[in-house]
Amino acid sequence: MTATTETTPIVEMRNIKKSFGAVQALRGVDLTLMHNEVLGLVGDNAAGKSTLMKVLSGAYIPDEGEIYLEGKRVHITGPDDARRLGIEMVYQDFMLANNLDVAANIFLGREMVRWALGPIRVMDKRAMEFQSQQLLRRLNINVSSVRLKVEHLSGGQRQAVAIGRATAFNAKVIIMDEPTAALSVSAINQVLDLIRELKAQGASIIIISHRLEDIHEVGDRVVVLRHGRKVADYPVTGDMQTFRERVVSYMVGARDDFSKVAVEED
Amino acid sequence: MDMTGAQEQRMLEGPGFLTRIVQIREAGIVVAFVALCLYFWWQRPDIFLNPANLAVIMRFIATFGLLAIGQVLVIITGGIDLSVGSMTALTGVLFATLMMKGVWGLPPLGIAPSAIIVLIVAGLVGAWHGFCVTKLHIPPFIITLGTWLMARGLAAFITQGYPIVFPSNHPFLWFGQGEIARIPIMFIVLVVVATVVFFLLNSTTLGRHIYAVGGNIEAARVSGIKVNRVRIFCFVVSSLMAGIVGLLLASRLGQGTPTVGTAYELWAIAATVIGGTSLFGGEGTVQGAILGAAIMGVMVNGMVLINLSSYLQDVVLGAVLVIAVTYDTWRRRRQLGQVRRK
Repeated sequence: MTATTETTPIVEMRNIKKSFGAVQALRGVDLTLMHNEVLGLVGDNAAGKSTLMKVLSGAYIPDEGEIYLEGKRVHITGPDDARRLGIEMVYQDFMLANNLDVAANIFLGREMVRWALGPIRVMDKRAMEFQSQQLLRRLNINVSSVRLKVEHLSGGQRQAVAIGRATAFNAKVIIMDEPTAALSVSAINQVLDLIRELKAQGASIIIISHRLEDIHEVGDRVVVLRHGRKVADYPVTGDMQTFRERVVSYMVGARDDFSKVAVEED
Repeated sequence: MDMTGAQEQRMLEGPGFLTRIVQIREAGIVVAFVALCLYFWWQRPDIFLNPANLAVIMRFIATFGLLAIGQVLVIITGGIDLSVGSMTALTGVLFATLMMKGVWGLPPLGIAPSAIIVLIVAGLVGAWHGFCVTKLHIPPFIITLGTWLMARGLAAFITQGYPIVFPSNHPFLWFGQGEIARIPIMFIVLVVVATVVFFLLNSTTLGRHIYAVGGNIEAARVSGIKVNRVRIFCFVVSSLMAGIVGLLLASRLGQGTPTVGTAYELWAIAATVIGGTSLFGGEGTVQGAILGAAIMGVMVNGMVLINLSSYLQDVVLGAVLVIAVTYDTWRRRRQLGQVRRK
């Protein structure tokens, strides 16, 4: 890796604006993600964090603003675009097909093809199973068999498979929407371990979470949104108690590091 | 923590051979099918295995197996197709009209052109169902219920209620009445179609996407699967199956008649359900659908052979349906519990 790629942010979003009718969901948000960084994105309900990530993952097209990937301007017009650029999203409710096995889910929508005749594309199941197994092993994900149907997995295992799927295709950026929201305590720890593992292997990750403990545990930096604006952006430091108090003060509007921008906006 | 070689091996192989046999959902159905055959053979050793009787059973299996194959695809994706019974009547009547009378002043057509036109019409009806379900968001139950009425009505309108009879020596009759090595052509058609659809469902990306759409349509969508195309495809196949069965029944009966295939859609659905298909979507196999049709075929035939009252025959068939679904539900819950406990 050259020096330039390490100093250029892997993702840079500039002045992103998005409205739904009269509601301004995003009022000009800047967001950067560095290489091999875990960024926590927090904010109260309707602060705009999910909208911002949906802009990045192609689900929404912004009204204004630019997105740069490794310094290059990109135009993301749909989820397919985002994926092609190496931006993967892990959804809150896993988005797995429970009736299919682990390997099938990891390769869902991008099956390996042995041979094709027009629209008839014959899958290479063996190769997919083998690669799925390699992937799970690399990420230390504990699933007894890649041929197990997802309906037979625990919540933590499902989230692990969902995250594994997002990393399977050399993703540059992984966005996780509330990765621990639906999980038990032990499963949460599994998922946090997995995020640490991904970081150790060089991934760049954005985590949306209501659980500030998660951000404190695995995050390098935290960005707080409030009413569609960025109000804080600083490294994660200190103990949980002070971290929580500081983040909450931004979330409820008691503090605002970017208020000058807001005055200009209004 | 590093895994041992044996563990890694197991991860690739999945459950052991014996466990997998038990887990195969069709295992119970095969046992039931064999038991039924043995019972009727024991009751009527003089007739049951008679080639002529076997041909009767095989034609039944072909008719409902073909319809059930189409139905299975639609049901896997979370839909249902109630139109197939009426569609067999419409396609049969349309075929007879094209071949015997001609339409719009055109002269009567040959077998192949008539059949191709009929199958295209059937495919278009399926595409219409798919379009209404995916683009207009009409529930599959409703849109195919509409066709269930309309196709039957159109079939009666075209013929003004009378059957269109083929001459008794017409070569077309071979498809429904002919045999090769004592195996009805209809059954051979079923085997060919089933093989193709089995391959499609199990080995191709399209097949996997069909299951994915039924398992979690949103997950399929965000995975980049063209969900609408997949659903439309399944409706088209189902209507095509109805078209094929329409042609075969017309050939079998020697006429295109608007009353053929009444309630066949329900028989086809029953066959898929006996074969382990879940009406909630996501689950179902070609082999299960055919086994379901086979069980019904053997029972309908066997109950006649043992002189069971025809009123009671329906009671028994209904009971079989309920037992099959209960067993399947129980088996699945137990299996789920076993894996969870591990």
